[in-house]
Amino acid sequence: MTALEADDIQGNILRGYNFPRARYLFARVRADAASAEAARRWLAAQADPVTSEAEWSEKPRLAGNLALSYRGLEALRLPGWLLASFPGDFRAGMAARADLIGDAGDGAPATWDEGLREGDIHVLVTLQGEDGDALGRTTERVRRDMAANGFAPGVVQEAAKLGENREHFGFTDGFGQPAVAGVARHAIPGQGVPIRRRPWHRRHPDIVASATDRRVAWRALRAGEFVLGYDDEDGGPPPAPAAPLHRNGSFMVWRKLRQDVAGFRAWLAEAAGSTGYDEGLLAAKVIGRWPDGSPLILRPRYGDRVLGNDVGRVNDFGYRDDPEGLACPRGAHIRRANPRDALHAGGRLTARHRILRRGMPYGAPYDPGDADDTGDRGLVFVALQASIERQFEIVQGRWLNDGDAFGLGRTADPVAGAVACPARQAFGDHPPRYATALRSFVTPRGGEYLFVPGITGLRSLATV
Amino acid sequence: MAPTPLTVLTPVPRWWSVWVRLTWFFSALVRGLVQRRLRSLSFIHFAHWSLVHRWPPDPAVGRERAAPRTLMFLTTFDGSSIQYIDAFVRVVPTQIEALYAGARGFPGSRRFRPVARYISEHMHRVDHAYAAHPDATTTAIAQALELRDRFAAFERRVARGSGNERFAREWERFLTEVQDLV
Amino acid sequence: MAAATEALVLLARVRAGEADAARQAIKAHWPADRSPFAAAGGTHLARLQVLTPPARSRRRAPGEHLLLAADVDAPLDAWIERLRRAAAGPLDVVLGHCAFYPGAAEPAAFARWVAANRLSVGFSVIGSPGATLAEVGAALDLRAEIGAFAEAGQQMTPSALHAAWRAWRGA
Repeated sequence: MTALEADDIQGNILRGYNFPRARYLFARVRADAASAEAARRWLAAQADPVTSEAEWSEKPRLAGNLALSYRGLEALRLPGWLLASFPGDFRAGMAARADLIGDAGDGAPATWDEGLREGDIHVLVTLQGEDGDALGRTTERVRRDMAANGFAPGVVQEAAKLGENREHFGFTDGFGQPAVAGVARHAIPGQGVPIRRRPWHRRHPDIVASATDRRVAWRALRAGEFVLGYDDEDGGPPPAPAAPLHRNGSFMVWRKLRQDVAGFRAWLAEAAGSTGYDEGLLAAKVIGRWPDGSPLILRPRYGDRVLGNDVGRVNDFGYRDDPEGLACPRGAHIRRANPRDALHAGGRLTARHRILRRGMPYGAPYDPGDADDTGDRGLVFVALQASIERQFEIVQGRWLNDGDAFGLGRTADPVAGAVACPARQAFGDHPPRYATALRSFVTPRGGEYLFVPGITGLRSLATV
Repeated sequence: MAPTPLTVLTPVPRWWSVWVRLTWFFSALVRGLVQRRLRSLSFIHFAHWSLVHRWPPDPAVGRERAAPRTLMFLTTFDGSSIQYIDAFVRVVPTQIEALYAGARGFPGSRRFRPVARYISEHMHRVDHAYAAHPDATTTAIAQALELRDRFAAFERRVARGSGNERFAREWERFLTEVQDLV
Repeated sequence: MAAATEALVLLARVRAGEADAARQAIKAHWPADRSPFAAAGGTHLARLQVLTPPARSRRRAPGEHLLLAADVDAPLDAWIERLRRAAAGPLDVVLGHCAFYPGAAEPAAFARWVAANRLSVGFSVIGSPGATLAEVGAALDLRAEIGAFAEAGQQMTPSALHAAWRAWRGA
C-alpha cells in the first residue's frame, strides 16, 4: 500500500482539525484575463501557507485551506483539456444536480441565500481556529489580499461549535467518521468496514477487533475513497483530473443547512403524544443516538454518557442483529447515513459510499424560552470524498431522501432528507409505532461542489 | 423516481453461446435457485437474457455482413446504475461471470470500474419506457404482496368475532408480526 | 407457482435508411406521460427502442433494428391482441418502418409477424413472479391503507379502534 503523502494533502481531510470556530470565505474570480492570471498566481502562492495533513509538533492557533468550484477553474482560464478531465458531477455543480439530492421546494437552488447560489462560488477559503477575534482579523486580511489579486470577495459564513460538540437539535455530532488505511489515528473499532474476524488480523495495521462482537473486526477503508491518486475499494485509483491536479486532492460538498429547531421540537412533542414514547426516547429513535452520543443499538432504553465519551466503543456496533429496528429504527438518521452491515450482503454495499464530514454548526443556540426565536441557525455541512456521485449523492439521494433500501418505502429522514411529501416514520417495537413528518426540519440554503487540490496541484495553478 | 430500463448487447462467440444455453438449462433444473440469489438483491423488477443467433435481415438490402451472435440483456431496476453495478460486482460476481466471461472484451466481474465502462460501451439508449407503477419499487411491491396475504389471514381470524379488547390485542400482534412489511 | 407474467422480446429489422424516422415516430407518438402500452392493460413494464447491433468491423456497420419488449400479465397472446386493438395507430407509425410489417389492422397477420420476430428468453429474474398488475396495484393501495390505519389507531381506545376497523373493512 502506498504511503500517504501527508505533506502534499491539504489538512482537515484525513484528520479533523477540531478547532472550535471557522470562517468560510467565498469569492469569484473577476472576468478579465489579467484578474484570472493574478488569481492563479495568488492561489499558487497559498501552497506554502496552506495547512497540510502533516503531523503538527504543536497545534497552530489557526489553519487555512482552499477549494475551487468548476466555474472557478473555468474563470481561472485553465486549459480546456484539464477542465474536461474533471468528472461530470463536479463539472455540473450542485445546483444542476438538485434533482438527484432532493433540493426542491423551499430548498430549491432558486431559493438559496444570496452569495451561495449557482455560479456565486468560485473559490472557498476555509479558516479555522481557536480565537474568534484572530479569525476575524485574518478573514479581513485575506479578503483584502484576494481583492487585490483578481478576486471579487463574496459572502463570509461564520460557524462555531456549540458546547459538547453538539449540533442545534441537541445531539452530539461528528461520530462515525470512516477509518482510512494508513492514518494511524483511525484504528478505532466501528469506523471502517465490518469483516469477519480472523486470527491473523491481530497483526494487520489497518484492522482492529471489535470489543462488542467477537465475530467482527473493522477494516479501515482504502485511502483512495477520499484522496485522489491512491487505490480505493475497487482496487485502483479513482477517476481523477489530469496531471498536475491528479494527486492528493479530494472533492468537497459544501452545504449550508438551516435547521428548524422549533419545528422539530414541536413535531417531537406531537409525535410523542401519538406514539406514546417519551420525547427524549423519540428524539433518540429519530437520530439513532442519545444526546450524549451513545448509540441506540447498544443502549436502546437509556443513554450512557460514559459510553458516549468512549471513543473506542461508541461506534463499535452493527445492525445485523436488529433487522426489524427494535433497538435502533431502520430509518434512524445514523442508520441511514451509514448502514454498516444493515444492507444486503453485510458491509459490502456500504463500503463504497462513505463520506468524511468536517462541518460545523452556525448561528446562535436556540432559546426555548423565546417563542419568537426564528433565528438563522443550522449546520455548515462539509463532506469529502473521491467521488461526489458515488459517495455523497448516494448517501443523500438514496439513503437519506429515500427509505426503500431499508424496506421503508419512499420515506425521507426528517432531520437530513428532503421531505417533499408527508413521510411516515416507523419505529420498530411490539407493537410498532408511527409518526408522520409533514416536512423536513432541515432546508438547504446554498452551496457547491468543490475540488480541494493537493498542495503540488495548488502550486501548479500559476503555470499550468 | 421511476425504475430505470437498461438494454445491453454483448457479442459472444459461438462456443460461448453454447455454454450460456447450458447454464440456462441447468438453472431451470435447480428450480429457481440462481434466480432466488439474484432476486434477493431486491432492486430488479425484471431481467431477461436472450441469445440473438441471427439478426433479422432486410430483404431490400443486398448481401450484407450479418451482426455477430449477441447476448441481449434487458432489465428494469430501482436505484442508480452505480448501485446496480456495485451489487452485481460485490454480491453476485460468479453468476455474472457465468454469463459473460466468454463475451468479447468482457473485463471480468470483480471490479466496478471496468464493468461500468463495459456496460456504458455496450448499452443502448431506450427511446420509450413505460412502468405501470413508476413510484413502486421492487421491494415495496414484494412487501405489499406478502402483507396482503398476511392481512387476509388476520381478517379471517378476527372475522369470527371478538370483543374490543381482544381485537385490539390481535391487531397489535398482527402489526408486530408484519412491521417490516408496512 | 405458475408465473403470472410473461415476457415478450420482439426484434425486427428497420428498413435501410429509416432508423431516424422510426426514432422520430417514437418521440412523436409514444409520449412518456401517455404511453400506448398503458392502453393495452396488464402491462407491468415495457420499452421501445431503435438499436444498432454490435458490428463485426468498423467499416461495415450493421443495419438498425427495433426492439419492443414488455413484461405483461399472462397470457401473452391476449396482451398482444389488446395492444393491437388499443394502439394500432402508434404501432403502425413506428413498426411501419420495419421489414415485412403487415400493419395492425388484421389480427392474424399482426400476431404472425410478432411470432416470427419474437426472441425466446433464456433466463429471467422477476421481482414478484406471482402477481398480476391488478394484484400489484391492489396490494400497494392496501399497504398504504394499513399504514395509515396503524398510525391513526395507535392513539385509539380498543372500542374506538374496533369501530374504526369496522368502518374501514365493513366488518
